[in-house]
Amino acid sequence: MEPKVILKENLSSWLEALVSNYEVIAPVTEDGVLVFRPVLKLSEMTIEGTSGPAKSLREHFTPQTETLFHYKLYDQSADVAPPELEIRDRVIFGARACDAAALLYVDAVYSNVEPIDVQYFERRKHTHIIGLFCDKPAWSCFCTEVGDFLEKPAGMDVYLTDLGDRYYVEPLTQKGEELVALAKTQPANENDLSLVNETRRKALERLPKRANHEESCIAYDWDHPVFVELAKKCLSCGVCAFTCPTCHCFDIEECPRGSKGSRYRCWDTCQFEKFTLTGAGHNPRETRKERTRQRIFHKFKYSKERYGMLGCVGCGRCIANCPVNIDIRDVIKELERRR
Amino acid sequence: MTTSSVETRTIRLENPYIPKLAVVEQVITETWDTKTFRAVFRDADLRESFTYEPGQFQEVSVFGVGEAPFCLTSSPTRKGFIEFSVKKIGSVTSALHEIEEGTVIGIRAPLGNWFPYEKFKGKDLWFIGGGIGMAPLRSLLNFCLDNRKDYGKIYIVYGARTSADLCFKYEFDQWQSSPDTELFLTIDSEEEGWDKNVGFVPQYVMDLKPSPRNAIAITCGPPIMIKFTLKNLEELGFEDDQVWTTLEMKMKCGIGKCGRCNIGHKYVCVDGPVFSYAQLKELPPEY
Repeated sequence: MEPKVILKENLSSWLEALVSNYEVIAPVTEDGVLVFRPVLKLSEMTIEGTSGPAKSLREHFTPQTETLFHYKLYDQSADVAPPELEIRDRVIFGARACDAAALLYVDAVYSNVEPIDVQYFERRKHTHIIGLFCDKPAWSCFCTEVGDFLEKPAGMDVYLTDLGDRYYVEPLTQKGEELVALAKTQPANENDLSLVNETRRKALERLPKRANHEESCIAYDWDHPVFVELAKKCLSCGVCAFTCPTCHCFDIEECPRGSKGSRYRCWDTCQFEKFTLTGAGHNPRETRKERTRQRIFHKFKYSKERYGMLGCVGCGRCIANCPVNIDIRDVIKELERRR
Repeated sequence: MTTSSVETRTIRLENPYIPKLAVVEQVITETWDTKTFRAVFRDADLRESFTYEPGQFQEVSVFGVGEAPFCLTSSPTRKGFIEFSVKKIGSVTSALHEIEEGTVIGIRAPLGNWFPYEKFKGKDLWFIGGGIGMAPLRSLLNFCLDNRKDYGKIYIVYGARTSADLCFKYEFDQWQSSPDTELFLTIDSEEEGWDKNVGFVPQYVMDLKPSPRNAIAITCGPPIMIKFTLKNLEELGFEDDQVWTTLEMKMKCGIGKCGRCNIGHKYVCVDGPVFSYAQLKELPPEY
């Protein structure tokens, strides 16, 4: 598929064309925080000069709370019905490489065993992704340490790179070609290509080298003292999990309203004490030592063993948001240093 | 908030979290804190076609309260209904203890793996249960008794805190009178009128000295009982792949998605709940 360029002056009309065919979800500054929200116009978006949204795409595929079914009770009988699911053809505009790659991981989690998570995949099936190269990685970014998707995007239909007065446009799938066909573009020339390479080189210089955590995780020490230290700092606030694009754990709860009600699920995290507390009072991950170890081991070891891929895309949100400055990069370094 | 003009389709998708409706046909009071429920699916076709394997579990819904996992304690050889035993402990179990016969509940089943009974064929079987831990063993036990010729001798070691805490008493006679089957009962401390063994299950197993030769041990009970039973069986010469257990973990989805019942990279809800001691030793000690 041939790369193209789109002049920034033509971006607005591309957005208009996209908006008339799709619900477009893009980075928007909401109360001072960059989040993915539906937009109608280019002017609503914050697309340049940032290192990516503070929240991941998770809420657009598995909402923070989501009804699983409704029920109605009668005398000696009951009705149970699936919820109404609103489905629109959607385009995520300006997704970063980490967030797109994270979706592939969540796909694996929710389809690893039958039955698959149908609500997630219904939304997934109707969502197309126009990604944006990260030319201003944040201090907390380390995507290049855990994968090569910044250079070789995964889970996207189109990849854009900002070249100043225009975007370099790479359609990556058939759907991507369709989306790009809605824009007024021109073929990319050699000058564009060298500018792209230069832009990418500059960004990559600011990011760490690829590490082989997939290999190193085999030797992670279960009783490593780093978890004793983490347990002392961690507040179990869960911000790491709630901003993480690969975290996917949920709780299932009841919402009764007299003789009717619903069952819903909501985001949950292994960092909370009650996550694994049984009714009988037994808790296999009773202290923060076990719980912080679970998070790290799940991302870097169990995910590799179960799904054949790391459960971390290096977006750095857990680092940027942690109130007590826990840095997952340091934890991994510590685990691998004492091998 | 901006709204798109793009067409919205409203659909209703069947999803795997929706339970099937069932009616509680019979409530059996086992002990002061445990009841066994016999339920039948409302849908006649499902009632007919539903099948499961000994060791599998289910998620039971009490509408208005919530859902909790329970092992199927009935044997798939006895068709048309399912049974599960419930110790009153939390909100769902307490709600279950309040319900009457005829109440509609929700069931998602069968879930999880099961005892590899094909591999057990021709072998002597030692069922070692403690308290409510007898519930998952009962499914396999009755399955084996219904296929009696496929297995060697069957020994049942069953213990509880007191004689009043023993479940399934109404089946003891049936178990004992089956060919080549012996039932060994034990309680934690002396009681007036109790003429069976007194002592903890792991110690009783040591006293009974089961021979590991061509034998399989299947155990379930409180974590501490399992721990010492496994240790004692090892001492008696049982190899790790001759010993099987079924684990209890906090569960929600039951289908490997909600993320809470993992031991290392295995999920108890889909890769378990049944594990051999050999398989358990491969996993981190976090259960």
